Formats: sequence, C-alpha cells, structure tokens
Amino acid sequence: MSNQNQLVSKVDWITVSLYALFVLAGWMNIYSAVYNPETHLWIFDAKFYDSNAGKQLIWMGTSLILIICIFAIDFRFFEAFAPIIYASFIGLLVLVPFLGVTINGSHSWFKFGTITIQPAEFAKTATALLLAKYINEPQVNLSKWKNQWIAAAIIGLPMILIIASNETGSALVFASFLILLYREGLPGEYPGLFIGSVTIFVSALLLSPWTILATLIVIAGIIIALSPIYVQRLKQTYTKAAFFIVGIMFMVFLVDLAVNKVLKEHQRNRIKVLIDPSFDPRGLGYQVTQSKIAIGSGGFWGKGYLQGTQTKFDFVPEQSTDFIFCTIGEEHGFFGVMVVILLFVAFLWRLMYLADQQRSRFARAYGYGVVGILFFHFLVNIGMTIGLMPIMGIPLPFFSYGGSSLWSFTILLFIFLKLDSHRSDMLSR
Amino acid sequence: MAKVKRQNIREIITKRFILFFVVVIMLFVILVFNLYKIVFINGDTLRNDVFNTYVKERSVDATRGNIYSDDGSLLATSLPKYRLGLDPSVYNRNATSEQKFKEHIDELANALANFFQDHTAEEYKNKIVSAKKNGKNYLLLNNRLLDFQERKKVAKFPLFNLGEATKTGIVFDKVNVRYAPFGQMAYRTVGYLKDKVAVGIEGSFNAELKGTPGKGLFEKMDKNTWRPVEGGEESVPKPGLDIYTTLDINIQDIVETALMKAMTTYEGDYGVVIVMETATGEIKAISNLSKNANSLTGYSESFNYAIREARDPGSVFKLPSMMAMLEEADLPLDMPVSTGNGKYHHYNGTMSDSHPMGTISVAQVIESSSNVGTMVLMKKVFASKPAKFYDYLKKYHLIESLHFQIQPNPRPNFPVPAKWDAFQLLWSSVGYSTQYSPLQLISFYNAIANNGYWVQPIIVSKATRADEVVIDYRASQVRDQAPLCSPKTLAKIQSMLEGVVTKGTANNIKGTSYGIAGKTGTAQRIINGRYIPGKYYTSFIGYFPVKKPKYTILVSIDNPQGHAEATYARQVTAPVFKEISDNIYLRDMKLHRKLAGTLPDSLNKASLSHTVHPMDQTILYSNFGLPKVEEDGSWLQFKMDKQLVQNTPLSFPAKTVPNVIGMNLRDALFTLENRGLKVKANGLGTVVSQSVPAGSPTRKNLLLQIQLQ
Repeated sequence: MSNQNQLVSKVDWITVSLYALFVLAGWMNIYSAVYNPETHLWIFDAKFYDSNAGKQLIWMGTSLILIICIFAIDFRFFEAFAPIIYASFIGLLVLVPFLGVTINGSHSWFKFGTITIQPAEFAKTATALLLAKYINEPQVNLSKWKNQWIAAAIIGLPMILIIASNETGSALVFASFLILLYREGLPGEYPGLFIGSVTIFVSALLLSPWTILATLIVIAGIIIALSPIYVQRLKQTYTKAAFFIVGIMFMVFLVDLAVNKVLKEHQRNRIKVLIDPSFDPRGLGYQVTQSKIAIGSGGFWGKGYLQGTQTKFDFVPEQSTDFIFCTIGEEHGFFGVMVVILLFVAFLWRLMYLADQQRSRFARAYGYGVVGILFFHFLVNIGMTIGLMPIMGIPLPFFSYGGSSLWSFTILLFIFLKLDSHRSDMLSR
Repeated sequence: MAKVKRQNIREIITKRFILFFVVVIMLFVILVFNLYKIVFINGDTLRNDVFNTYVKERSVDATRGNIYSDDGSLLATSLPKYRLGLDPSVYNRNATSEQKFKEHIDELANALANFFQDHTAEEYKNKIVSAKKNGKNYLLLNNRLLDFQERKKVAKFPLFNLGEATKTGIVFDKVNVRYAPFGQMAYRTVGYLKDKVAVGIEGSFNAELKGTPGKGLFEKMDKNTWRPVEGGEESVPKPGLDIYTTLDINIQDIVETALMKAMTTYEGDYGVVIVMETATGEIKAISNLSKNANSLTGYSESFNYAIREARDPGSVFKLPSMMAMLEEADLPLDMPVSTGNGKYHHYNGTMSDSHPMGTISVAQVIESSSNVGTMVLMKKVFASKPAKFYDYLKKYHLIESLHFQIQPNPRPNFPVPAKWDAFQLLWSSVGYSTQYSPLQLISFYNAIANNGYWVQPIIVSKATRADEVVIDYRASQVRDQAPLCSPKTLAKIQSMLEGVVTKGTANNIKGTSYGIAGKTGTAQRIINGRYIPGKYYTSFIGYFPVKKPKYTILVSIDNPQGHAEATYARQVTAPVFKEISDNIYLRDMKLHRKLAGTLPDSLNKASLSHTVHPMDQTILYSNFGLPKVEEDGSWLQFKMDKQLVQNTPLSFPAKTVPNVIGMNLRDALFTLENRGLKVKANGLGTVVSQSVPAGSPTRKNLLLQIQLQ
C-alpha cells in the first residue's frame, strides 16, 4: 500500500497530464475529422465503434491497460529483457514480408482478426531499450570505432528490415537515435555528417552530381584556405580534409545512384514536389496543398470545433491519421496550432529534464531515445502537413488515429516514466 | 586531475544538452514561422489557388428540352449516357476490402476487357492497380458512353457487385447526349448544335431549349475530368423548355420519300419541298436535299434552302403580278391579249415565251404562263404608276421579311421604286430581277388557298414545361384581318390556278379526285449575272383539295438534268406535287376513319407484335390507360391480343445484328445505325423483314435492307 503511494508520488504527473491532454485532444480531432453532421452517432451507439473515432476510443482504453501493466512490471525487467524484446521484434520484422498484409500500399502489418498491428512502430521502443542497455555497459565508449559499429548495427538492423517492408518513413525515425548517441558521447562529427548527407541527398535530387561536387570542393577549399589561421596542426587537418573530400565524392555518386536508381519514381516525386512546388504530376502536391488550405483557412482563431469544411469534404486525405494536424489548424486556427506546438516543446523539455535527472545511464539513454523519437515525429509530421517535409507516413504522436501508433507511443513513454519513478532506487554511477 | 576531467564531461554534457535543445527550439521556430506564413501571409492566395486548381464552381448543364412533332413524336431528345469510372481508393480502406480487391481484380479486368473490347484484361488490371497504389480517388475506366442497359450490366461485374457504389468504388458520371430518333428526317430543319454552329430549330430556339444552368462545386479528378463534390451543389439547374413543332412526321416522311425519288431521277442540284397547312400557316413538312457524294443515295440535308436560298422565282411570280393587275384594272378573264411572235422587246432587252402563242385570253396568260402576255398587261396597267405595283406587293407580304421562327430569314430582294431601273417593273412581273426564298413564295400562295387571308408561316407552335404551355407561339402569329384582294379578284385568281392544272402548263397532273390548283415556274438560272438557257430552276406551288384547300405545297428543284426532255416544271416538279398530295390525301382519308389518338400509326394495328422504344412506352401505356411502368430503358416487345397486352423486355447482344422486326422506321434506324450498320429502308409501317438475320455478327458499314409494311 505504502509502496503504491510511493509510486503515485514518484510518477512524473506533469508528463502524464500532458500525455492525457494530447490523447484527449487527439481524439476530439479525430472525431471532428470523421464527423458527419447528417449521420452523426453518439458514443453509446454500437455503430459508433465502426468509425475511426469509435475505434480510437477503444485504443485509448486499451492503452490505459498497457500503462497499468507497465507499472506492474518490475522496473529492472526492461533492462534485463531488452535483448529478448529486441530479438523478438526483429523476428516479427523478418516475418512480416511473409505473413503480413498490405494496408495503404505498405506491406508491414500483421492481422489478428479485425486488429492490425504494425511491428515497425514497436521496434523503435525495442531498439531504444537495447541501445540504452548497450550504452549502459561500463566498458562502452562511443568515441571508439568498435562501440560505434555495434550501436550502428543495433539501429541499422531494424531499419533495413523496415525499409524492406516498404516503410521508408518509419525507418527514417531510427535516425533520431543519433540524439541519444550524441548525448551519450558520440563525437559531434557524426550528427554533422548526418545533416551534411541529408543536404547532399536532397540536392542530388535537383542538381547533377558534378555541380554538387564542384560546390563541395569550393567549400572545402575555402575552409582549408582559412584553416591555417585557426588550426595549429596543419598536416593532420589537411589529411582529414583530403579524406573528407574523397569521402564526399564517393558519397555524392552513391547518393546520385541511390536517388536515380534505387528510389522509386513516387518517392523521388514526393521529395521533388517539396522543393519545387511547380513540379506536380497531380496528387503529390495535392495532399499538401489541401492540408495547407485547411490550416490557412482556419485563420487565427479557427472555424470552431466540428466546423471545418475542408476536412469535412474529405479534401485532405489521411486526415485522421497523418494529417490530423491540419484538422487542428482549420478548426482551432493558428492559436490552436501554437498551443499544440508549445505544449509539445514543453513536453520535450520536461522529458529531457527528466532524462538528465536519471542516475542510471540506461534510464538516461533510454530517456533521450524517447525524446529523439518523439521529437522526430513531431517535427516531421508537422513539417509534412505544412509542406516543409516530404510526405512519408509519420503519425503525430498521441494525436493521430491508429492503434499501433497510440500503443507504441504509450509503451515508449510509460516505460520511461516507470524507470523515472524508480530513479531513487538506482545507484548513481 | 580526475576531478577536472569529470567536470569536463559534465560541461560537455551540459553543453550538448543546451545545444540540442537550442536545435529543437530553432526547428520549432522554423515550423512556427512557416505556419505563420501559411495562415497569415499565404492564406488567401493558397485558398484561391487550390480552388482554382482543384475545386471550381462550374455550371451544371440543365437538361435540354425535347423537340416534338405536332403529334408528340420525338424529333430530338437528350438521352442520359454514363461514363464509367472507378474510385480505387476504397480498396485501400481496410484489410477486408483489400482482400476483396485481390480476389476479384482479375475477374473485373477480364469483364472490362470483354465488354469494351479495346484493351486487354492485363492493361485494365495494371491501370486499376497502379491507380489504387497511387491513392487516386478517380480513374476513368473507359471514355465510351454507356446507355442505361449497359450501365446495369457493368454494375454486375465482379467486384462491383459486392455492395453499394460507395463501397465498390464504381462511379457513373451522367452525360446528356442529343439524339434524333428519326435520324436524317427533317435533319436540317430540326437542326443541331455543333461546337459553335447552331442551325435549325435547335439553333433558333436554343435559348428556350437549353434551360438555366445550375452551379455546383466540382473537384478536378483528372486532366479533363471534373466530378461534383458531394453536397456541393449550389443551385439546381432548371431544365429547358420542350419545343412543339408543327411538323407532321407522316407528311414529312411522304415528302422526303417523294423528293428523294425525284432528286435521284432528275439529278437536280438541290430540291426543296414545303408543306403548309392552309388554314393555320403551320409548316407540316420541310425537306431540303442537295447533292452529297458521301451519302448512300447521293443526296442529303445540308442546307435549309427552303428558308435561306433566295432565287429569281420565274413564272410563279406572275401570280402576284396578275393579282395586282386584276385589283388595279379589273381585267376580265376573257379579255384578249396579243402576244405576237412570243417576243417582247424593251430597250435592249428581250423576253420570250416558250413558244409563240398569238392572241390569248387573260386567263391563258397564267394558264399557259406567257411572259409576253404578262408584260403587255403590266405595261398597260402599271406603266404610268409603277410605285403602285410595289404597294401591292407590300400588301401581299412580298416586300418585308416573314419574321419566320428559324433564323436567319432576310427580306426578299425587291428594290424600292426609287431605285428601279428601266427593267424592274416588267422583268419582275415575270419573276426576274428579284429574289425570293421558297418560304416567302408559298406564304403568298397559301393566302390564295386560304380565301385571300394571309397567315404568317410558323413551325413552332408552343414551348412547354411538363404539361404547362410556357410560350404559345400561335398567339403571336401574324394573321391578316383583311383579305389580300377582293373576292372577285380572288375568284379569278383561283380559277386561273385551277386552269393551270386542268388545261394549262400542268395538265399532266389533272384528274385527281380531290383536285389540285397551282402554278408552274421554270426560271432560267443566272450564272455570273447572265441568264443561262437550258439550265432551269423549276417550281410548282399549289394547293389541294381544290374545293376546300387543306394544304399548300411548294416543290422546287434546281437544275434538273437527268432526263433530256424533263427540264421544265411541268415534267419535274408538278408530278412531285401530285405524288405528295396523293399520299397526304390517302393518309388523311384513313385518318378520318381512325380514332383520334397520339400514337404513331404503326402502334395502332391490333394483334400485331411491335417492338417499342422506351420513350414511346410511356405514350403507349397512357393510351391504353395502363399505369406507367418503371422506365429502365429496355426495349419492350408488345403482343396485343384483344384485351391483353403482354410485354417482353428485349436485349440485343453486342456485336450482333439486332432484331428490328416489329419496330417502326425510326426505332429500327436508331437501333441499327447505333451499331454502325448502314440501313436501306423500303415501305411504310413496321419492319416485317430484315436482309441480315438477327444474331449474325456485325461489321462496320454492313448494309442492311429492311422492308416495312
């Protein structure tokens, strides 16, 4: 009993409240997105549960059960069983191409009766757990090559499997583990390299490899020319720069190959539309344009709850899943959108703060994993709806409709909150 | 040392924490900035852009009104046709529909390939699968328009038959197609709208027929495909008015048959027939045939000569001259007129008769159609007061435009007296130096038949919506309150016209039981302003029955040349008149014995089997006092047996010759020509035999002969 009370007092209620707020607000928006003034159903109507809003209500109820389960489990379980959890999800990802079904063009779902589950969503949590456990090993030092390779393998394995099941968007989420690794001592060159390669990748879609190469060499030349002023160890710097240029050259052509040979037409187009809106073979810019319209037409205060017309007319496809943000924009306006964004920032800040409070390196690393994943989702999803990012099937955490999505984010978050509630039980290191 | 290092790590970590959070904040600031841009800066532009690109308020065409004949037979109507599309995104909704799609897509592709016969099943499958994959919510499956029967058939295809349309994704977009059940019949008069060209009744009554378009929101689906946004209709289109013409399908049929026969026999350049109901001025039939090498018969309707082609009328114009002279000078019919050697010299011009006639009576001037006689009298009566002649013509409605309902119809070309040259009075009295359209001439002759009372010709009697008459054109029809001439003059004129047939230039058509009166006209053709001998414009204008005229008919054939001896009106146009009047008379005799009804002739013969077009079923049912059955577009075969009417829906398999036995001509033509067959029809009534048996495979341009009885 006292143990229970202790637990209640140790749970971070700020985070839990924000979570509850997000989920409820999300549900109201899903309700609005599918709301039909003519045939509108109330919660007590059995038919209501055929609609997205009804189904989401079921997912929310089951999420509560999940939370209780997580809190019932011993907190040491997550660290101890991380390899097994990871292995089992890798197993599921391997099986999905053979046993899975296709939904919305993505062959990544398991079907149990009427319930469909997307293992890729859960693989993020499993990966975060194993990565945190690995980093927790006393001998691991992320500035060492060997440890970097192992960490990369832990992240890369599920990524490759997810890409294989045609869910490139979900796979990209794994890039957010860079934040975790960076926090835990990965040298700063890596995130820099990552950002650099994304830039090169995008420019490879637009420019010829030679143009990119020329530009890069010019930039490198300027840096090298200026470097003697600031850098003492010239020789080492030149060697590094030479390696760097060769590496870049290799990469540019690799990217060019990847973009023009490996990427499929529709994937290429999605990115091209983003950068060049006039390039629009119908249906690509359509979604984003409609989404922008929905948000833009909301004005400052929005049209009011259930009053959105753009969303009602089904102008925006996927509006209760990936494009739920534009329903908020249309009905609650710039004001509503700002509130959501500020709450998200507060939420991330709180999670980072909590993560830094952890005495166990496992909990802290895991916490940063959670922060990274959620941050990536927020950024990409909102960016997607306003046309800053390519459309790649990334849901808005807690808001978007979908069982797999809500469950996986709930599990991801509450494992951390469970760990956090036991932070005083941990030995500081 | 250790302490320092430890501090370093902490510093680094703190630095990284802050750095990361700064990055987070920066990225969110970028997001917020972009949101701000969308909402406050681009908001309006964006909305407009999309509305212009993807959603548009477009006008929704109203259903065009029908054009009917005087008995309510359809001359032109709009039939609903359907364009088949698919919303493949419905199969992305959940695993069940995904499964269904997988199971049935091959069958569907096969069915589509078999039905349309234009692409392979593989091509259809690929098209659908890729549209589904790309999340499209509209895919045009085929551009061919389906009729209601085909629509029903397509809805039963695999995958489409698994539930309601919203779940199966099947989309039928309705398109109205103009369709003339009688095909070529009165084609040019009924008219058409093609691109920007509008002719005939369709063109002249476009404003009434087209209705008021509605407005609705449309969403762009494809390059050229716009689909209405559900619930987005803003104003409902108001259907167009139905136009009732005065055309009588049976008379039209008689006229076209007779004219076609004459044209193929005499090989004229073009031919015109107008039939006008004497008492009402209503046009009962109008036919224009001109040479067309592409037509099976060598002739087709391509220009409304009856209304638009003004020509030197020739001898038929002697009648208004004679009427004016009789009115002015009260000439006795037996007064002698000297025509001498058949030549009349006036300044440097000479007008001759067909042969020298010597001294003849006034009556014979018309009966034998003497140019010289007319001119001699003309000089005597009007030479001192030529403007008076003009006034008479004005009174006879031969100067101003008829203001006929089909546009354009300019005024006759007859100059005002101030502009006359030395020849105008005498030359125009015999039908030269002036130009009239056939319609202008027949309206004058009609007044003679109508006891001297002139009525404006009309071809459209009313415009209706449902059963309510919205515009009554008869009410605004011009009818003279006073006769054109005195009863005495009229009696003289009428007796002269009878004389033309009994003892004059048209005595080859005398001897009918009902009697014909009329006037021949053989005008020399003018080419480049010069009269060309041997090339004639032949006319016969008259009326029948002679005692109590019911119809006034004009027949004109330009440049008859098929028979060497037959180039005059007497041999060419007078017999056509007789053939038409004989047939109309016979039909009217039959009509008198029949109950008045609105059914087409062919449907009234009891205990015969008939195949009836969906449009006519309504008429048929109401005529038998039966409740109206669901109009689903099936052809029905009726068997009438004393009290019992049985009907069996018929269907004609694709790519085979349909069974048209039992149909009337227009239905048979429609059914056969719709399948690309060429049809040659003989006889009147219902089809009793067809040269290629039903069920045989068709090929394009297959010629099929049908016999009607």
